[in-house]
Amino acid sequence: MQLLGLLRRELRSECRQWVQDGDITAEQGDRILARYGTRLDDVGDGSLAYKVLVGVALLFVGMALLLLVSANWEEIPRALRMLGLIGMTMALNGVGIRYYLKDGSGLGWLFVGSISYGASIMLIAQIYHLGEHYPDGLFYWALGIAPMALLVRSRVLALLMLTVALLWLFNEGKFSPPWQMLLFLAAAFGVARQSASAGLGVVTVAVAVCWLNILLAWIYGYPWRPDFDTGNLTMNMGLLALLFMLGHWLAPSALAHRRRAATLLSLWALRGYLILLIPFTFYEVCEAYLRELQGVADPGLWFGLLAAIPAGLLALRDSSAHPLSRGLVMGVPLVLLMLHGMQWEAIVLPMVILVNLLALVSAIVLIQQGLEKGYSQYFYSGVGLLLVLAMIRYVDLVGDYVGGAVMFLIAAAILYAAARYWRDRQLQGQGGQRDE
Amino acid sequence: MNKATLKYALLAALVLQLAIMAGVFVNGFYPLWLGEEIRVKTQPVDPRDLFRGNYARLNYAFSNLENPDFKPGDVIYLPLSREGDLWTAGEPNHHQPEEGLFLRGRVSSRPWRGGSRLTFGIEALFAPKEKALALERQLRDEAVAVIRVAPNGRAALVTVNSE
Repeated sequence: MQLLGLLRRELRSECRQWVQDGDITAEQGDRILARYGTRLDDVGDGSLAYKVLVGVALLFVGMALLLLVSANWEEIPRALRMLGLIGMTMALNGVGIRYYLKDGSGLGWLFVGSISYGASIMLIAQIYHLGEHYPDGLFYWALGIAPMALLVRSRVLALLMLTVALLWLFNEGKFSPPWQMLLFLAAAFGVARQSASAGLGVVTVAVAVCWLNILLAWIYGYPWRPDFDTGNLTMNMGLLALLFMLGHWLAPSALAHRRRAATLLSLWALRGYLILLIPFTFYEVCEAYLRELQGVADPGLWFGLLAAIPAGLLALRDSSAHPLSRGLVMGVPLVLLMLHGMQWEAIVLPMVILVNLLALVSAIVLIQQGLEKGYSQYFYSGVGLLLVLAMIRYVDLVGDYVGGAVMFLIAAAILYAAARYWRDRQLQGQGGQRDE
Repeated sequence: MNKATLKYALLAALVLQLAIMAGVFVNGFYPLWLGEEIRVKTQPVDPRDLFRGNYARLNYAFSNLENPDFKPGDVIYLPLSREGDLWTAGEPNHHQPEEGLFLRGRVSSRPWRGGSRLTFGIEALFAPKEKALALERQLRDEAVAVIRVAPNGRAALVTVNSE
């Protein structure tokens, strides 16, 4: 039931209603909510809409600032423009710091101050017609926000820093290997840890995966350019296996935010895995992938193994994960080595068939797990995967029309069996209640 | 972290932002302040920038590099020589010339159609949209960029005129 932890606000609201109706006592309500890292008297609910509206308003203020900079307001002297914006940056951040030190508020001021700071850097570059290596401006922007975000433990500032750093990553990544990204990732992880934010932690992991992909692309294209290769897919297979198992490993933690991060990690790693799987259900994609692989010396293979082997070891130790997913994760290193070491002509067709079957089995297991354990996210992911597979086969038939028809029949049988199973469980539940 | 330490740490973070802004400013202003003024032929093209607003992108004859020994990110030095009223650039080099005026730039793109591009920080003339477009139209064929070049080769654009 970890997934319920992601809906803490709704849980609190429901639990309060149960207490109000006399179904449970307040003490029981608190005990139930404690499992998900919250309490009946948590006051976050009412202020959420307020926070969202204020956040959007502040973002608009920041965007207005950026537009002002973009307008090149020529009639105002250069020095005055620049001093005005720098002064505004200092004032906004100064007010933010004052409020933060006073009573822990002022994050809104610091957020607009951080955008104003970025606008100032751009304006200086604009005034002096600086054109050489524009990603530097984004780097300095993110660099200036990082210590502020860490010191005030602000998730919003950390997200702004990560967004700017990601833009820098994509722009700088075209010119040179973006090693400095490690600095921003460390800062974002620091804020996620200090502010107990599962969401920020998972976003940081996603950005780290992008960074690793660009670094690997530079290994392929060094010293000229980043060159994305089939090895990137191999590495991502290993990374997804590792993230999935890390989620399972962190799940029993006593800390609620770590449990939430674990749930999000394993859920999104699973979704990433399913998304990665879908293109490989096409013969052409498998053929192109296998043909382009660079053998066992491929750096993508070794980076993939570097992630997949610890994932396999975690799967060996962790008995809480579904046996199929454990088997899959433990098999990933072997599969990666096989793919890179074998003659591609020999394994294209078996691989296509295997991936299609794997996708189908994954959908079945997801639906079954969703029904069995009440994980609605798994249930819908399984149904979604099944629908996507059916649609793909409808427009791109494996073999012939008969193959497509068989695929549809299998999908229909799974859905029908799931529906029957669901109905039987409901009837059993009602029967049990009557017996009592 | 106690409150007094946090206060000083936050002020230090603010000072860091100020120092970075000052650094960007000084880096941009330094050639204008100490540099020698030169005039080179240029061609304004394609005004556009997502963040910084409208500008006319300036193309110089010496912006194209056909030497395969340079890779993206490399710092390069171009010796400058005067020809009448205008200045022209010589062969690019990995090492800073010991004498004379020179431009310091960077290889900024992958090899494309037999060559790479060089950037020197003088490729963008920021202006309101209409002015940038008008500049592009007026100066398409004959334009001269007025540039100040610092002793270390860093250049700053002053303005662009018709010849």
